[in-house]
Amino acid sequence: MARKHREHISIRQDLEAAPFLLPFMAVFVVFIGYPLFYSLFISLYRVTIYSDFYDLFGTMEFVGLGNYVRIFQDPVFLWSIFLTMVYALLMIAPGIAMSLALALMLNRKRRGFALLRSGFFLPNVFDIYVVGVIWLLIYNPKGGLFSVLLHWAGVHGLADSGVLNNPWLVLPAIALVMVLKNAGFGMILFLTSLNNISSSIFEAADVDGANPWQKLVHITIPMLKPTILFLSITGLVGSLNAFAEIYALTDDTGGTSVRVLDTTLQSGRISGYHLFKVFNESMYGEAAAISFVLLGIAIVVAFINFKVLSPKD
Amino acid sequence: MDSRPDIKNPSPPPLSQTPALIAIRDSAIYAVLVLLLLFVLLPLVWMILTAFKVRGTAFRFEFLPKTELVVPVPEDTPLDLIDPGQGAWAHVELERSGVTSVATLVKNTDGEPAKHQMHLTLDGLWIADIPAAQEGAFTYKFLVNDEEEVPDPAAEMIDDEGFATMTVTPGEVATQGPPELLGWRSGGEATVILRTEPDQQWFVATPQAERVQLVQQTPGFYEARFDPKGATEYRLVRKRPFAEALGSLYTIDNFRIILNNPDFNFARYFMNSLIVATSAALLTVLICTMAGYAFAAKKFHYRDELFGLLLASMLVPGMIYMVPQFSITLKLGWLNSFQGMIVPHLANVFGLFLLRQYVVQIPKDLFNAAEIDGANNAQVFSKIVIPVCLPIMVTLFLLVFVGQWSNFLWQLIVNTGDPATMTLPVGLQQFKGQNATEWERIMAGACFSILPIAALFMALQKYFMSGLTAGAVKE
Repeated sequence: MARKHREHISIRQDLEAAPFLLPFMAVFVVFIGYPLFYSLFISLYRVTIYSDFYDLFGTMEFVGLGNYVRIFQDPVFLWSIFLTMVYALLMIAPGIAMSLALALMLNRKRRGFALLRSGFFLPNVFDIYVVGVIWLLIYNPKGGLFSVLLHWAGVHGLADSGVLNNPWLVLPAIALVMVLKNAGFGMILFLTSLNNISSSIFEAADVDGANPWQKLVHITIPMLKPTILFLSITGLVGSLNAFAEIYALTDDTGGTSVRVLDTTLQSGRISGYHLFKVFNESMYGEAAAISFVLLGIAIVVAFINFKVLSPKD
Repeated sequence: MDSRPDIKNPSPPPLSQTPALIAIRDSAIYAVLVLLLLFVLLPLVWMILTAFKVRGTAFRFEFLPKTELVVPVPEDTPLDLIDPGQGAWAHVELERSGVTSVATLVKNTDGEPAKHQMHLTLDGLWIADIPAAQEGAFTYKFLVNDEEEVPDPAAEMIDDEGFATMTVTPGEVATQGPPELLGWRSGGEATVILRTEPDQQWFVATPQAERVQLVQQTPGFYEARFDPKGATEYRLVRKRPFAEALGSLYTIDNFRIILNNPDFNFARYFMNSLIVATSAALLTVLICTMAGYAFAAKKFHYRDELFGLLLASMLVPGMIYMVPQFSITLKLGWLNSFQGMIVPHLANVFGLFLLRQYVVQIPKDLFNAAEIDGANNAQVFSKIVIPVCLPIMVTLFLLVFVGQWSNFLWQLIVNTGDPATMTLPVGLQQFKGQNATEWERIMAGACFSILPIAALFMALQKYFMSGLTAGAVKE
């Protein structure tokens, strides 16, 4: 690659490439490159009561790191980070477990398995908001399938009040929706990785007399570590960004209120939804600052994940 | 694995490899998978079932049409409606066509005539039940259209004023025809009489869960006698044809109403979503293919540095851009417009990556040969790059299409309630806000979002899967 740079590249070659590059780069610069810096810039400003309603972005007041200071003193934000971590755990671990289980079961050639694979992947292409609204009906205390099952199991109190109205259960219930929706995605990735494991490793294990469980723990799972890492990092980013499912399943309320340390907080207000709420109140400076703090958290946690899960051979 | 027999050690296969156990294990896996699949596809199934349900039945846990209908009104009608020994009841009827109202004038001994409005039954009979006849005998005649006084044509004796006489023994019903629904006990036996349309099958369900069929005595009148065993209540059960049972549970009205709703035009939302997703996907594929070609086959200053920078930008979560992208869209005056929903997400770096990797694999000789033949860049692009890259372009098209089809947050932010450019998820959210109880219709609206995308996936799943694998290899 270093040698290439020494090759002479003429301006004519630049001009020949330009028409092909230009459309992409123009959109990239205007809507991704510039916004990145503009976002950093906005995060140092604040919309105040003196701002012009019709030109909020033009009349913001410079507050330095004020937004960042304010965020870290805001119990609602800190609570949303805590809830996001809970939500991430609830979504990622069962999600990976289910994807892996599906992949292990489907990793053989049998009649109808291709159809099953498509079936499991199908919910991935559905609109999250719409799926959330459908689950609102399934979770409904009046005759939704879930409460019918709860009544049948004898848990009448919970069935009557509704899972989504219970502050302890709202996030697990939403996580279940997302695990079922996303399981097929992880399944396909695991199936691809399983195909890439050389069968000679398993044959060697057979010769050594390894049982299926030993093969799973000592060969399969270590070989799948990159996929597990990928799924946990995308799952983490997904949890930090989670919005449509919270919006749909809490009916844009953020969940029922709970009292935590003398503050009234909402049981489903995780960071992505919190960011939307702040944005929706036209607190653009604070919203931009929050998104950078979330980026920082994503990088730190992704780095820890990488350290823990990366193959050490 | 076991296809290669071990010649040196001809040991019997391990227990877990015997055919019977494999068959058991396989069927267990099938069972688990099918169950899990049902669970995973539950929203799809639930949405479709609810979308076809009759209004107001979304929360009724009932999915199979019932050919036996427990008639809700009058439910659990007491058997001692007429208690023998306490009061009496008379029933009169008159057959007259072309009449708007008929009343009975009832005169008890020496009293002024009291007026009882009668009502018209489906088969043209005017009937009335008169509980006022406490005395043993009373006289009556009919008052037609509030003017013409008509004596009962069925009566045997009429006095000079036109009044007929009816005698009622307490505890019995004096009648020329039974009332619409009546149940009473006398002695050890209960009697139920029902007046209803012909050609139906009716049962009385007793508290002991016995079924006694109501038998048609005269056209439109059904009667059953049974042993109530001390109980005072019963239920009516109607057996109906399957088509009618199906129709009482499922309907296509929800779709009809949603499509004809002037305030929430789901056909419009569907078209808007289609416009946004299709144009975003087409444009993304086009500019990504062009840029992918430039990055893969052209030489220009800082090419590799620029590509690395673009790839690095993929690590930044999308929400960072939300505020400034909104601000730019606002400044461009693109709120409530298609371009406001389409353009900000066109620079798809992942798509660029996919296309570049694909173009790199095209042999250099192909490009060189084209150059020798005098083809210019545009010709090379359209004659070589596009045909070769078509499969991956389809994949990228589908990925972007699906992503934009459900880009709820951005479409919610950019649309401030303008139905002309509102997309499906936002339209559904608005519809749900104003029709919170109309769950059957909300689900019919949801079908517009879910079913087309499901059909698209099923038809082109090979391209979806290949895009996914390409994405996974990248990591």
